[in-house]
Amino acid sequence: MSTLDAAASRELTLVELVDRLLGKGVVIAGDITLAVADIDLVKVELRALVASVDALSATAEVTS
Amino acid sequence: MIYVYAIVEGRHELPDGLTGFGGAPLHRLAQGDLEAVYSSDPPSGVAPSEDSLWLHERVLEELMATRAVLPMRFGSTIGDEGELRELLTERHEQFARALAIVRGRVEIGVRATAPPDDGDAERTPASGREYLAAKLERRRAAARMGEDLHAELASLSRASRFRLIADPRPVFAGSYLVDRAQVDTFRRGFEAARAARPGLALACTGPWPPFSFTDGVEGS
Repeated sequence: MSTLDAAASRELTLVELVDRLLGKGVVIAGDITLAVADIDLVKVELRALVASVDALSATAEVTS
Repeated sequence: MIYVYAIVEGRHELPDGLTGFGGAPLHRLAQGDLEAVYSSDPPSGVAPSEDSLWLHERVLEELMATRAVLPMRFGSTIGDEGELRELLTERHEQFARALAIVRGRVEIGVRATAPPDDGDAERTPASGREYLAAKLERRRAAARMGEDLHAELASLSRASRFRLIADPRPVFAGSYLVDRAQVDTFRRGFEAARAARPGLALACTGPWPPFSFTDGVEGS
């Protein structure tokens, strides 16, 4: 589906997984309590997001 | 406590051998034509990790093979079956509408970014005004990048959503609800969109359960 290498592809898939499972989907009202673990996961997502941007950018440099 | 994986169209058996967190059996709670799929929450709860996210995701993918599914957000727990029944009753209309929209469809994710300009990140702004002007220009660049790409991809899908991130670099994240039978057509359209944009890095993921389309609202 894309020209990313395996490692970049895995990182992108993880970002997309985290984005969906933690940020989307049906929410049970009143269930939104921001715990320490949630904050840590937001940091994981941001790190992974930056990594995925780098991975995507590396692909563009290779293919252009 | 019980852990809820999905709201689904009712009256389909659970896949053989499919279990939830801690190997717990899955159960269905029916309310009218809807069901919730859940398991007993392990005593110490479910900590988020790559493995646990994938477990939740795999339950959804297995269910999706044989029925329309509205994914719950990871970590959705509720007190007991009585509260779960209340949830299904109170939000029945939203859930029924959303299931009708996602039935027979999958979600495809598309991400795009512009590769970094050399020297862009290193340039330190001389003033607050320059900082804000640069920030505004990044936001505009992200919007230009995303909106025309989205229009092209949205035309290949039944419903779509997107968001733009402008900092630290422009990132476009779109979600497209596509008929199962149209996934190959969508992918060809994605490849054409990518070929037409040599300055961008684009990638496509999925198919996913329809996380972005649980609100019961059509369109894009």
